[in-house]
Amino acid sequence: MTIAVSTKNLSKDFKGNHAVDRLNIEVPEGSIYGFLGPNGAGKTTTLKMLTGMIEPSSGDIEIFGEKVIFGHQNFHNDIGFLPDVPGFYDWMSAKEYLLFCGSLYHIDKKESLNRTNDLLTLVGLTKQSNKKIGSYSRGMKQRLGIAQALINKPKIIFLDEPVSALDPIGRKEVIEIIGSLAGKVTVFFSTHILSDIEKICDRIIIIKDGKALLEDSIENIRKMSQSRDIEIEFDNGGLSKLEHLIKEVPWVESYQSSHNKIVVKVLNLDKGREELIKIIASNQLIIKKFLVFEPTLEDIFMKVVSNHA
Amino acid sequence: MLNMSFFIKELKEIIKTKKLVIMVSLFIFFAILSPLTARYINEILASLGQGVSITLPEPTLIDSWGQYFKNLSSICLIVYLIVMTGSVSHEKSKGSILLVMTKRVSRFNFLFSKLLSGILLFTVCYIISFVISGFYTNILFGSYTYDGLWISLLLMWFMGVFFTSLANFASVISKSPTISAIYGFVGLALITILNVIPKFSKFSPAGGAMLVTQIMLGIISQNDSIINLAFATLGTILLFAITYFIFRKQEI
Repeated sequence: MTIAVSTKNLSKDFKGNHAVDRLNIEVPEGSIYGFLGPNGAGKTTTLKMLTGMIEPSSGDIEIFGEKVIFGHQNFHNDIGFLPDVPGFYDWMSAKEYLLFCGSLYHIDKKESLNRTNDLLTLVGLTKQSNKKIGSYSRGMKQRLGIAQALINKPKIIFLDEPVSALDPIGRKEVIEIIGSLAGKVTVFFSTHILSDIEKICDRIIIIKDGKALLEDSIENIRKMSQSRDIEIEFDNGGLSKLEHLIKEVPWVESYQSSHNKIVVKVLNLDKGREELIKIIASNQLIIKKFLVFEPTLEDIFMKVVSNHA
Repeated sequence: MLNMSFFIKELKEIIKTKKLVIMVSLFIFFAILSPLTARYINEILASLGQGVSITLPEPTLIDSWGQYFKNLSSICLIVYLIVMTGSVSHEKSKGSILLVMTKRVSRFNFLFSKLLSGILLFTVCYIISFVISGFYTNILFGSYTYDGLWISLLLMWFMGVFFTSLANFASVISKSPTISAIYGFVGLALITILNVIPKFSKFSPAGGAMLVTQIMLGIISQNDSIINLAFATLGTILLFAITYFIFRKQEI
């Protein structure tokens, strides 16, 4: 497996404050990597270090094996970057801007025009491509931001909070575009909006106060903190009987009931689910709903972040 | 090697954001006004001071150029300086610098393009304005040239080039265009005060305006002007080197 981005003990201090604190990251090539953390966690500082715009206080960064040195451009052909608030030249049109970006990489004019047209199609700006950027909405600017980050056909793109300032429609559009890049380019994507990560990322890292709290694949993270709660709702009656039946069984940790609903916390979800179904069937209890709680990333995030508060 | 794309973008920006139109209009305005006020100063004063008799010597073409250089070194250069101080700080405050600097544009390329495009803007405005001023001086005074005119024009151009470098410096050390304009203005004020010291202006990179006056009065030799041109060149290069050194280390 090729590592797209690797950091070793990456740190950044601002006047004695640890904005980023010994951060170790390994981003596999081709992944959509979610960089998750609350506001002020050090996400933007990390991204600016990764793109060579801020000098790390200590630690190393490598992008596809090439060392990132502050102020140098040796790795710029391999990266694309979209900052949290992208600033464009308002007097240019989207087409002009993308052609300008292409020329900064010395891309041949014809090739640059082809790429510009393809990218405008990808981000859905073909119709507005000749309009001045100054007249664009935030969502349109963000989509143009993704396009400019891809003009050089980079191996990895860094996106800093690409959807945070957008309305729900704009968010959905941008997330879909990022999702469509899966397998084509490595995406390093910072956000504090959990639902975005959940939809499109393969792996995530959760940071707080500049420190990594958790790093794994979405799949493993879900497994790791699997919920053990089962909610059963009865039509009428049956609740007290079930309460009585599970009162002293060893596989139940606790339970809470209200009205015609009971939430059972079991020691093992598979065993608990099996046993509960057996009890319900053998005692002919009529149920309305049998629900195994699926943990959301929000639950995991809150748990991880609050454990390190 | 200079990435010409960024330099071309700078030139287009000067045109598209109306900087060129504004600056050229300002320079033309004073290029016309200067010979006119010089020629008709007696009439203007007479109409203002009713009942009071003011007798001034008959104006000459030296007065016309004197007026031109005075306006150029004050109002025109101040406006130019303020406009140019926003070149880097505006990109910083807007965030456009980040998108450019994460591409194949070196910091030297970025800064040098700003300096070069600024010098070009000033040169275009300056050439247009002194041609117009010379044209009107010729119409109103029958001739346009005097001994020392060409070296005076050169001194003023070098002074403008130095101001471009000063504006670049103010822009790099500031985070917003307002702060950079204040820094630029403070720099200009300091230099103007220092230029009052007679011996300083000869060695001041921005001493051209003082020397131009001394040339008109015939109290300065050509050699002194050449010394000033050398110092203006040195000052511009040195200030650019300092600006680049700061910018190279600057986190964006």
